[in-house]
Amino acid sequence: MSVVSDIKLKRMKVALAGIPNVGKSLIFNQLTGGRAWVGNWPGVTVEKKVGKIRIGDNELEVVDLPGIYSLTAYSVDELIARNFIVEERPNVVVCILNAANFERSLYLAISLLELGANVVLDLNMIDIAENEGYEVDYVRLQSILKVPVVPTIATKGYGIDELKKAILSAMKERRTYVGIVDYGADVEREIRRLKSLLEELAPGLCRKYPSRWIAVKLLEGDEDILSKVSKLPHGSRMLEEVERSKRSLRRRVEDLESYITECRYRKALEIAQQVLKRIKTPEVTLTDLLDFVLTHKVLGMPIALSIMYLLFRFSFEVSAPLVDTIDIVMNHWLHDWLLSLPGLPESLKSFLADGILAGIGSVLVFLPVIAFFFLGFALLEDVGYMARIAFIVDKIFHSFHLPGKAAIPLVIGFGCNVPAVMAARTIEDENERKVAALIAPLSSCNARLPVYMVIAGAVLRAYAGAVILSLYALGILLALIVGWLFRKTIFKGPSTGFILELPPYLSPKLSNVVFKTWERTKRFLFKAGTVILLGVIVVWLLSVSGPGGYLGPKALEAPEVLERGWVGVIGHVLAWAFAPMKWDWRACAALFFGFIAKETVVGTMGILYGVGEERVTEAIMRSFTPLTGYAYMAFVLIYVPCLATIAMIRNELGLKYSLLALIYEVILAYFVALSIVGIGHLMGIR
Amino acid sequence: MMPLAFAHEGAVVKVLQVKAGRGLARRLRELGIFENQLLRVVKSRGPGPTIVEVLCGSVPQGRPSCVLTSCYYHRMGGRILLGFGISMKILVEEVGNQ
Repeated sequence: MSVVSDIKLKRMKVALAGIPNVGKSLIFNQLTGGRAWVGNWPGVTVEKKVGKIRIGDNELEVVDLPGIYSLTAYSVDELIARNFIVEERPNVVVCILNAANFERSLYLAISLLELGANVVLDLNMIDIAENEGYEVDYVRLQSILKVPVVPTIATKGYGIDELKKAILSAMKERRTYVGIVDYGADVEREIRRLKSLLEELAPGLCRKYPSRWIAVKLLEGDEDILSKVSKLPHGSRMLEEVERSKRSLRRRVEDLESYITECRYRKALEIAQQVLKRIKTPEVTLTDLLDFVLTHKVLGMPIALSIMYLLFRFSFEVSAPLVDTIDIVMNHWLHDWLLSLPGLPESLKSFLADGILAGIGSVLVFLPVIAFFFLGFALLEDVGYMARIAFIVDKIFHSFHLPGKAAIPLVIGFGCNVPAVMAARTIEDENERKVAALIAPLSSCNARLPVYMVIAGAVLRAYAGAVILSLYALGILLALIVGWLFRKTIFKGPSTGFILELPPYLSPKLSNVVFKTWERTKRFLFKAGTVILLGVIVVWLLSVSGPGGYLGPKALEAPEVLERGWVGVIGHVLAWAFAPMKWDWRACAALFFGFIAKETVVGTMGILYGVGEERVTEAIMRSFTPLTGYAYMAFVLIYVPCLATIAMIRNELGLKYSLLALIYEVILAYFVALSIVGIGHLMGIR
Repeated sequence: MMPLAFAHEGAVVKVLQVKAGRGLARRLRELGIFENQLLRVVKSRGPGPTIVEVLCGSVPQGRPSCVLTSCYYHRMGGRILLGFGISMKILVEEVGNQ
């Protein structure tokens, strides 16, 4: 290969397109050797991802797009994908077809062909189609669509090399088929008329897109193309002509827009009929059986709750021995060893043992719990259960004027609130999407779990498990109520409902589950090493110094000295604000540092309550009653999740809404904590 | 004629009308839900959300029931979950049971 063509190829772009849940991310990973997120539910990829692919000596840029059903953008994720294909015009578009969801995939492929994209078709999931009793005659498909078709099974890596070869040869030889759909004599006549007008009046636009495609889109009433044409010099003349065409067609076609999509759809059905072969009669599939039980009218809800409960029990129980081990090693052996080191200055010893180790150690203890939670979560995701939750809860959510789809961000939120806010993107209605993103942080994420475990473990002991679960339930309940309030006030509007394609149940792939667990756990570890470490250092610095100057490491040995430090000042000011709740000033100081990330609450407690020689648990036991402890946990649940989540809301909805989230959460947290204490007192609980 | 939300579980229904706004109607069409298409109601929280399967092929004129007993149609792709709001906007008639 010559150097010139090599350089040329390096600048080439390949886009991966496909309907949701077709295995795009998996194919992206196989092609690039990368590690994109893979999940068996729609909407896993909400942002486009870029990777490099090596084919022989060539390096190409591969872009993984969110799943789309067509090129008429409907939700935000679809807009991202469409804009990329339409505006950036990648050299090759690999359209991934789901052999087990063939007609719908074909519809997108046809839309891409009409756009004049240089398409390579990847017929994926042929194994699943075979299980369902189908076979796709891909040689025939290739001759009908006039573009290369490569059958693959991405989960097994089958066909990936052939796909790479097909991409490379498509780079060299461009094949398009814009006239694939026949819209019937009348409409075709108008398309031809508009086409020649466009070529005459808007040559610039026609160089960018196929003129036939523009003509069809104009008749279809595509907002984007209409506005593009209207801005052209002869734009208004062109739009008049479009109206004329529409008028002349009105006598023959009732609703032109739906007629055009239906023609495209019928074409997909027609092709499907030609290439789909039934190889055996369909049996009752596993999906049928599982769905019968898991989405059952009566059993569905209890099963969902049991599964969630099991998930938590699993992560607590299985991780228990590891938690104890880490606790002993970090907080006892390592701590004592550090303090016994000869030759180190006292202040450094204190910084390492009472600052960093006490702070980070108290957070890291919970690493196993979090890892096992993510493991269980990844299993549920891979099996395909998550999307079913939207069905199970829709009726309840509907009475709060929220779509069932809003359950997905809340469930993701159990892991981490940041991706939860992003997941709201798949919700079609704008108002509903905003509300879903705003209430997502109320879902109790894994960062809050250490706080619950420390406090509930110390103060509520035997009831700790039930109490922690009640906090998760409280989070969801508040999310529903706040969502309802938002829908009644700021984000009014009719409930438009939602559409979600349910993936078939698949057996989880071990490497995928392990990878996802590791990725998420790694993020937690990374956070512990950066944000939380930094927070802990700040807490230590503010502990050993105060308004009166440097206090020295003594502060972390004698409580009365610590109170004179900056943390003491902050804690006492906040304790005054939280006076009705009767929280200790140290707990209040921890809340202050928890603004950055919830784990810092525990980190701070680890330092502040560890003062003197007593154990943290005992100190916490003495400063909280069961009631004030519960109110404290509720406050931690509700007030600002972490800076990262607020930043993500800003990204998604803008500054205004991120401030709204910040303010409503703090007020709500205060109100709920106050109510808990108040109601508790009325009931005679202390 | 009745909203899809009220159809029985297991029923095969024919879509008569989709009373949705532009964007929504378009999305439904892309998934294969439009006039004269056949759907099988897999799950229904009557009245509530529904899970449907789109069946390929439309009812031959005049002989609606034969479709359901012979192999005129096959199940098409994955199942679709329709929220309560949408299930109320799709008007259908029952053409048989499976």
